[in-house]
Amino acid sequence: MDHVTRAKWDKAAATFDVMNGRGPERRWGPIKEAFFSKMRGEILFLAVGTGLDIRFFPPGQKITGIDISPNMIEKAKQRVASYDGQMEVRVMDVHEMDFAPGSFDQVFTSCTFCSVPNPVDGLAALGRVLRPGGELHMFEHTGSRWFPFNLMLNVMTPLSRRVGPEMNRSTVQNVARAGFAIQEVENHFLDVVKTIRATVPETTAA
Amino acid sequence: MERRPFFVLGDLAANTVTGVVVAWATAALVGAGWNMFVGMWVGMALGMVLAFVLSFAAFIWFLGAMEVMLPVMFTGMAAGMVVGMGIPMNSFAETSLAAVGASTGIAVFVFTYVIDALLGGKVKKWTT
Repeated sequence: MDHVTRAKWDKAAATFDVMNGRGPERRWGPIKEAFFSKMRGEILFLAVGTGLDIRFFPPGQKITGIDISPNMIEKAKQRVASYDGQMEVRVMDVHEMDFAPGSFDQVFTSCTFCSVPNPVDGLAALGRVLRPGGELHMFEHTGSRWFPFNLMLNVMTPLSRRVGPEMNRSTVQNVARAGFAIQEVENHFLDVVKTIRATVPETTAA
Repeated sequence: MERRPFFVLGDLAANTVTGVVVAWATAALVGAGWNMFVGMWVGMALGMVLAFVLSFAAFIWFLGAMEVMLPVMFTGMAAGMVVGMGIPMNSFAETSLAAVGASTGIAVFVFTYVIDALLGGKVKKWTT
């Protein structure tokens, strides 16, 4: 277990909803609703956080949620309980998941891989718990290739990583490096906020 | 591209306010006797820091995270640069500072929306 990352997010849990609740959720709400509407089958939702995204989940799904932070999971419990479907949450590090290979049809992440310390390893771990042909759906913010936005993101990152995410990651490239086949990338704000759909190749696990 | 009036007007207001605040702050710090380039760099740095603080203190609660922070920080940098260079060169009167800051904010707002419209949607090539 990565205790440094756990401690960081345990600390962030107290103010997470205040920082991420109103503005970002209103802004991204319609995009997230469309994004999560693709949920089907056995679903792993990585980094539940305080459960802010649960209200966008379509009803009647079977979802396993994990998060590295017990404090986040504790805060999420009420939202998990109110979900109109089957949902369980567990404290777990993406790098040390104990699910059997091929356990899930889909994995969903939402602003997660800005924070996973070893993103390519974490993504490869997701590939292992997905069945061959399984889908990875990501709603993420990444770095930008365009000036001046890349400058801003690079300036913010040394500060932001102390309390939470990194702002300048190349997440799409990381998904490809982890062995996934990229199916679709859609930009929602500049080339920074985007959705990514990738699959585990049918013949080999990612 | 964002089309909801609340966010479009909110983004416009956030950039305009940031431009004005940074223009005033830069003018308060950078003196007429400063070297133009020193004034420019100091103004840019001050503008970015101020914009970052303003984003966290006020804008993200209403307008989102990246969508407001990135353009607002760009506005801060640009307004700081313009005023930081302009004050040593005596380019504009102190009374026009607010207009300079506001215009910079509006220009960045328009620039960001145009770039967002160009980059938005499904992409075939990606680097990030």
